[in-house]
Amino acid sequence: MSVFNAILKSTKACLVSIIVYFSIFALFGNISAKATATTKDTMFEDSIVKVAITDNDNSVLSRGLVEYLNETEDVVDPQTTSIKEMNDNVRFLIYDYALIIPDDFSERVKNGETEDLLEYVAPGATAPQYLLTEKINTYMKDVMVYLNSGYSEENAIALTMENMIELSNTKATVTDTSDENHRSFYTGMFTFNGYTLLMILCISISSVLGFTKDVDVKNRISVSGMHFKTRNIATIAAVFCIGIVITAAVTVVVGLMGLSDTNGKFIFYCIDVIALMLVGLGMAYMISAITTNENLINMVTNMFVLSMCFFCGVFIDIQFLSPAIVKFAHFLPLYWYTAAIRLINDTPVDKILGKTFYEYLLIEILFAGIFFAAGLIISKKKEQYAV
Amino acid sequence: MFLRIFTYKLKELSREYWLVGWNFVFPLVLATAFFLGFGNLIKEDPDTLQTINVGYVNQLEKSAGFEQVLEELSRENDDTALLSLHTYSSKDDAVNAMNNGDILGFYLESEDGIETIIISNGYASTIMNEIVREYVNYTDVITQISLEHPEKLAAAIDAISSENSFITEHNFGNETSQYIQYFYALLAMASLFSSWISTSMLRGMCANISERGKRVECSPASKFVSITAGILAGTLLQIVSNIIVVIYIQYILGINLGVPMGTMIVLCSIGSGLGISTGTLMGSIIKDDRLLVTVPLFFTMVCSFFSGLMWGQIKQLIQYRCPIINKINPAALLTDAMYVRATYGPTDEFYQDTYIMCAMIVICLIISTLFLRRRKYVSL
Repeated sequence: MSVFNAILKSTKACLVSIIVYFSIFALFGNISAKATATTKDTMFEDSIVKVAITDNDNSVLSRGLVEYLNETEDVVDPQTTSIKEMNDNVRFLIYDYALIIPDDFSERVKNGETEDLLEYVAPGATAPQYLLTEKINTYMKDVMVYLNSGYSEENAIALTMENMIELSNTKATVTDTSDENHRSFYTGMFTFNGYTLLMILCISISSVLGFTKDVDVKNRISVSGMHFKTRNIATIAAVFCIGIVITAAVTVVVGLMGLSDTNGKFIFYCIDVIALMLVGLGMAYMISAITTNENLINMVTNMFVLSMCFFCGVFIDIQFLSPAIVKFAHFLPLYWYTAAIRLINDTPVDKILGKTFYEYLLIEILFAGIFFAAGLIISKKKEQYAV
Repeated sequence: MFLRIFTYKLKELSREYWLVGWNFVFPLVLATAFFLGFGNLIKEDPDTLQTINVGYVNQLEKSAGFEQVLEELSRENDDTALLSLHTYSSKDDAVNAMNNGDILGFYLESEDGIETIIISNGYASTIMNEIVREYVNYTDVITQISLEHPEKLAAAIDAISSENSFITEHNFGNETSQYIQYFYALLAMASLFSSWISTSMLRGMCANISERGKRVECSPASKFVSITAGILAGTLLQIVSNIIVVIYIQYILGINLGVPMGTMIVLCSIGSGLGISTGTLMGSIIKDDRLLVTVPLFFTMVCSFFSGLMWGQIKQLIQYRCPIINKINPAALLTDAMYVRATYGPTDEFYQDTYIMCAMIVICLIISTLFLRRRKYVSL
């Protein structure tokens, strides 16, 4: 019991790291999960473009255009008059589109000019760029046709607006039935958890195991009357205890955050997280066998876990990765963890428990075993050669 | 004396394996991870509008013209086509194709009009529906004019069929991918990691922290010379490390950072100086051995986060809401200087960022000098 208690007390030294990573998980995991979560659509809804408008003309025509965009899109303040800053804002998606109405806009329209009356800034040939450019072109074409056909400015604007609003009733149907098209909040949170849980487990447990390898501590334990078997069982139990407490805390936090999004699949995500916990414990043991220096533990863990997160679909969706990277990722445990999460997300609740799900869990457990065995071999060799 | 201390500091720092790991190896590993993770997104922007696979089912004897519109949109224009049209004989066939993922949605033209059927909402679905709206809109406009101003009908039809472009894109010439931002932030992080070099160097000079510090304090060497030599040795190491990372990204990974090599070396040197000077300031204030590692790490990671290392949008979001923060964050300044130089060239903003960084270096070193100048062995 004394070894068990001593290891638990040693965890206090890593409390700052645990809190930091836990906060990162709770904050950024939540933000990213909420940003990517989608639900089944029951009716058609237009995608709204976030557009910043600079109206330098302030005429009846320009106000008509702004009013039309206000009705149909999300109009925001550009917060700047600098076109470069607008370019930076659209490039980094602060808004999707910046529309600039020049001061001679109305005059040129009245003169019958039809080319380059307006200017926009957009981040390349994107869908929002195409959509809004088309909408503005259609609006302008309608206004010009009415003006050239003898209608007054006010009438042309009113008729165009009327047409555009009537068009909102165009028949469109959504046949959204599959889970595959959507990503639940739990999927987002548990995917991000692949990074934070592995970091917390590797850093805390490697450091704790590192303390027990300190020469002075090791010598004191050796001369104590405690049996080798009892000592090792206590060490393993303490390590598992830390792992279970951290994993339980993580799952409880996700559970509480996603209360409004429950879909009966939570238990399956938990099973996958337990498998990941075993991988984390195995990795921690291997890292502690490589080094006991806290700085090196931090560095090795960061390099290994961060790299895995980029290749295995934690930070970047697997669909954006090249096929060669995805093939390589098959040799990493985190890939199977995220694969299991995708399976849970895409499959109806009653069909999740099946061969594929068990296979993914088994592969994760095998990886945990491989890391543990590698740790044992490294420790033995180090002892053998007195490194 | 200066050269001797400089040489020994170089040796001492390069033998700290964890420092070498964090400052030399970690940026290379992270650059590789970035490259493998989204290297292809830099070359091919995933947000670029792709051709939309759509289906078309005609339940009328003859299409009123909508099919021709779809065919027109399926024709390649500048090597790209907006739509890829698939025609189906029945609604069931189209539904099956949609469920199999062959098409995103389809149009059903019948006596009741044109219906757009899609799997889920999104920009592509909105574009599909917008095509129907434009078609219906032009029909309505022509009908209205034919009723109220029939004499203008021909001109109206001409105007609607014309290919006018009322709106034009402002072209900046140099398009820097938003994903390059991560590499700039990585270089900023690597530069700020040099704050560890300073704290490690000062630890080796503090008698109350290390055995080496006791020896340094007892030696007749001038403290000013020792610290200056240490700072320069650390800066040199960090500049070398940064240049290795830049060469690795630019020539081995093949990602064009968009900044001329000479300017990049100058920026990396300023960044390294900034990291070293902030580290010296921390080392001169902090006296706890554990905090000498934790504080520089925390400082580097917080600054790097707000410069866009983990979330590329954050720097611009701060610029939009509270730009002053970007002007006091050393990592954001370095990232911004690289981004501005790559996108707009050597503008006033680029020089402003560079001057602020130089000013920060000077301020940090002056404050550090004030803290260190009266520190004696007996006063520790």
